[in-house]
Amino acid sequence: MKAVKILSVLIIILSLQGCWGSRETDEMAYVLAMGLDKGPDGNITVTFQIANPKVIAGPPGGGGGGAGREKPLITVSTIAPLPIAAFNIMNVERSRQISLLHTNAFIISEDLAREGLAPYLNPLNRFRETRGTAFVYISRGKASDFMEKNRPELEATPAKQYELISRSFRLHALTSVVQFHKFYAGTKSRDRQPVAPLVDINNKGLERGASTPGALGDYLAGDMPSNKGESQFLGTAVFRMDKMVGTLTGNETRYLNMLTGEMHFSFLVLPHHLKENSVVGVSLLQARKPVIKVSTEGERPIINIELFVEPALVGTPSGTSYENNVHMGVIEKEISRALSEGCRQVVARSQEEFRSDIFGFGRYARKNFLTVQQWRGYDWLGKYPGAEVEIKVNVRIRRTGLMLKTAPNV
Amino acid sequence: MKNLFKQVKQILTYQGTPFREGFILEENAFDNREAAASGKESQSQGKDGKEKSAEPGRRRARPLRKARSEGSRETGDADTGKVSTILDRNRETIEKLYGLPVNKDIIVRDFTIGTDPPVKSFLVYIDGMISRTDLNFLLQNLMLEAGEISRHIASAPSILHRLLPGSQARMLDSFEKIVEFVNYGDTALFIQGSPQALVIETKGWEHRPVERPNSEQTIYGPQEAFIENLRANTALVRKIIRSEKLYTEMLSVGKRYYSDVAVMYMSDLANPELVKEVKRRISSINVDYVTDTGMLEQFIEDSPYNLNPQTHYTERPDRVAAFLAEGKVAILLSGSPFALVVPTTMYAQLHTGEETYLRWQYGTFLRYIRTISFYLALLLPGLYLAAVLYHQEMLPTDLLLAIAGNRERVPFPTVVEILLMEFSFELVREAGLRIPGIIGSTIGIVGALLLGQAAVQANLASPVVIILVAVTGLASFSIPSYSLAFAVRTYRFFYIIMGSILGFYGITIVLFIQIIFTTSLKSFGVPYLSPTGPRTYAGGDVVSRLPIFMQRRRPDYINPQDNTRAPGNPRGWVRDKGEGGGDGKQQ
Repeated sequence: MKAVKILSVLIIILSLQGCWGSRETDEMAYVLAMGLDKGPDGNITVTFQIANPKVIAGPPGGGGGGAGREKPLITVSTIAPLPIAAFNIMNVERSRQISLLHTNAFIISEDLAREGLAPYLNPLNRFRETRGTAFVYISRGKASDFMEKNRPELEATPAKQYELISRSFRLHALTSVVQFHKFYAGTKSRDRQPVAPLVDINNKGLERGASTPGALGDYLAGDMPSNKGESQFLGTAVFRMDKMVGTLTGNETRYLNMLTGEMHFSFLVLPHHLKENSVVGVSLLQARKPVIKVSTEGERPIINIELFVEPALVGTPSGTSYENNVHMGVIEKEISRALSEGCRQVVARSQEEFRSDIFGFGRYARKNFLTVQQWRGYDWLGKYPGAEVEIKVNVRIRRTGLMLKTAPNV
Repeated sequence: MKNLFKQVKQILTYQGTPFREGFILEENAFDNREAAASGKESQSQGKDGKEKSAEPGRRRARPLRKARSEGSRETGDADTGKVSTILDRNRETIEKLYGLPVNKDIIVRDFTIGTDPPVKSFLVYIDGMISRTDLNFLLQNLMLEAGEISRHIASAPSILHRLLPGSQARMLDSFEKIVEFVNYGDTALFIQGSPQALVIETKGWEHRPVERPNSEQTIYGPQEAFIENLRANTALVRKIIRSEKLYTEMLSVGKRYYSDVAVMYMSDLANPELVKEVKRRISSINVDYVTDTGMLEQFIEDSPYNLNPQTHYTERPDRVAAFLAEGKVAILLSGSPFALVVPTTMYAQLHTGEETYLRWQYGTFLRYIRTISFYLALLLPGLYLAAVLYHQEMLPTDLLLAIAGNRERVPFPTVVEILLMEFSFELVREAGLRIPGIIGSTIGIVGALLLGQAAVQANLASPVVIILVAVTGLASFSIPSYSLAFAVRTYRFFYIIMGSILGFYGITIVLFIQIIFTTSLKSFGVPYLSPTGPRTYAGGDVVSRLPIFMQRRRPDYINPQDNTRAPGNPRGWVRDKGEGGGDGKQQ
């Protein structure tokens, strides 16, 4: 009898739990990527890329002919005042409950980003299903176009593509990576303004756009010479609060990543210091995180940056034997000069053109204040454009690749 | 006309089955026996039996045997139950006790002992239970050699001392005792004029030889298993522990017919309180018969309603020896090829002897694999259900899409799918065990392969679920204790149900309940999860297995009389300083 009592209490308690949200996978439609475009009358055009698992998983157990003709992704757009509303209203078209649980990327068009993203980021951040770890991309063209044309050939789903792209950033440092929660926090931050990677589809083919000769990757997404129709993840969109204020090319993004300490590996091509029309290729590693000191005592903040870069020789087509001590010293100085010049230019752009602290110097400045109120009163964002910036780049070549010396060309 | 009416009536009305067999198994022929107490009951019974049935032999077996044996005891008591000096009277008593000549198993062999003068005597034994060569040798001695040895012996003591070549022989004067021995394969010798009978050990029934273990196979280590012969089993253990401190105490269980129980322990290790408790529980069993240690286990375990097995059931003498050397107590039962070791813990049941025989790195590797498979067997289907039904965001996108894509054409909910496949797997497992030997193994494999493949092709289950169920099944096979594997399999269904109803929250609930149940469980006074719950000295042989020379103390939870396994440095040839860590420095 006692057991019956306990059991009945247990059953009642268990059946009162609010955990009846069981959903079978075949009742759900998973949105893999969400695109935001400017729409008519202050609305936005929201594009969803919905996975068709039947096709992605392949025909099970020999059954199902003709599955090959079905598309693995369904791309649909609608117009709504808010992204969550759009997602909800899409249920009238689909038999399945549309879910944002697996939305891995938010692609926002440049037009919309330049007008300010606050009205759209807030509901997305509030919504329970949104993944904080989703990636944010800024599309130079229309987001819906990009999603329609972006067809990763090596991956089964774009979800995996976005994830891998975010990792391949470590290989070149020519773009940046930002996750939704960090991006959102950045738009509210007083220390570090957000950046987001630029994406676009190449529609120029192998034609060479405007770019500095010699610098590697000095393009914006979509401009790099390549096959037509390839999607490119290159360059950075710079924000001031929630508004996009400009772009950095891939080359500039390298210096941005160097200054924030996020550069893992990158290639750099320098003009030869003696021979005309000859270049030297080096790969860059950051030996240590940059040491940054910010002084807020004077009228203008003074920012001291010390970078530690360890290049390795990659290509020396000139035949100069950089392996010997004399030449190595020369090229170390040369690299140091080029890097500090590059960094200085990017910092100058951020101060003068963007007026936005995308490097996070504010986090170092913040240390000088005891209370939040004092820090807010200092108005870092207002003072940053006038800051004095000193950059010192320590360069030490430790590796010369697999060659210990170069015999002169005869 | 009247005839026709009768026929119609016969067709239309209920007639009842005609009484053809002439035999009815009456319900209450013996039910009032106990009420009738003593005295005339046997007479009235005989009457009832005759009145109610034509064939007395087909009565209900149990009450009949009971009635007969009680009756025979009474007659024995009536004749004081002692051996008489008159041979014929003894013979009559034996005939009465065994129900001769109806009972054909019993052989009474009359003969004359070849002394001078010759002495009439007879032997009583049970056909098939004795060794023929022993008996022939015995008869040869008594009939032929007797004359040469002595001229004036005719009494039991002198024959015992001079004539019997058998290794074990005893002089008894109570029929109750004599019958007990004869029932167990001994031969009783009754001699004219002697008030005692001689009971000579001639046991020699057919039994299995010692074979390889069937349910606890290992690659390394001894390859012997217990058999159905109790004495052979105790010898198998004693062969490993060659010590005079190994005690074997004999008890008996079963009121109708008893079985011998051997309680084995190391007298200088096992906690005397533990030995006392084991003997107390065994001797208090009041039931008609116990034929296997599996039955005995159920009578002596602490909590019959808990799923976890609370005694260690093993068929390996080397394991029993290892446990005895820790200070545990082993219980062997005649006729059972398994031994029970108490107390046990869950960890002991997840071990096999092999980890100790292997080098410690390999042993630890095995243990870790087994630990993982324990959790897989318990939780995997439940976790899958919870993740797929409630927490889809937890799965990587590609994995979720693969699962979802494979499920698209499956018409059942995921729970039904899992339960269906789990049931099929259990079916293959059970059927594979029951199907006669030769086709059994093929059916098992073919059944599993075919079922899985066909279920996927017919869109009855998704391939992911098949893999999941197969992995779970394999994992549950890797749990060495058959009983514990049963417990895990049963618990698994709770996890499946709760995982599908309440997601991870439900799984947490079941985990919580299971942990509480298991932690509060005790096996012969020892917490089931020791040495981790409660935490005591673990000895480096619980989840991982440290090198064997570091295991210098016995498990603390058994409270043995001597805690130290190796007092100094176990590897005498190595200087103690560099090794052994803390233990070494203390000494």
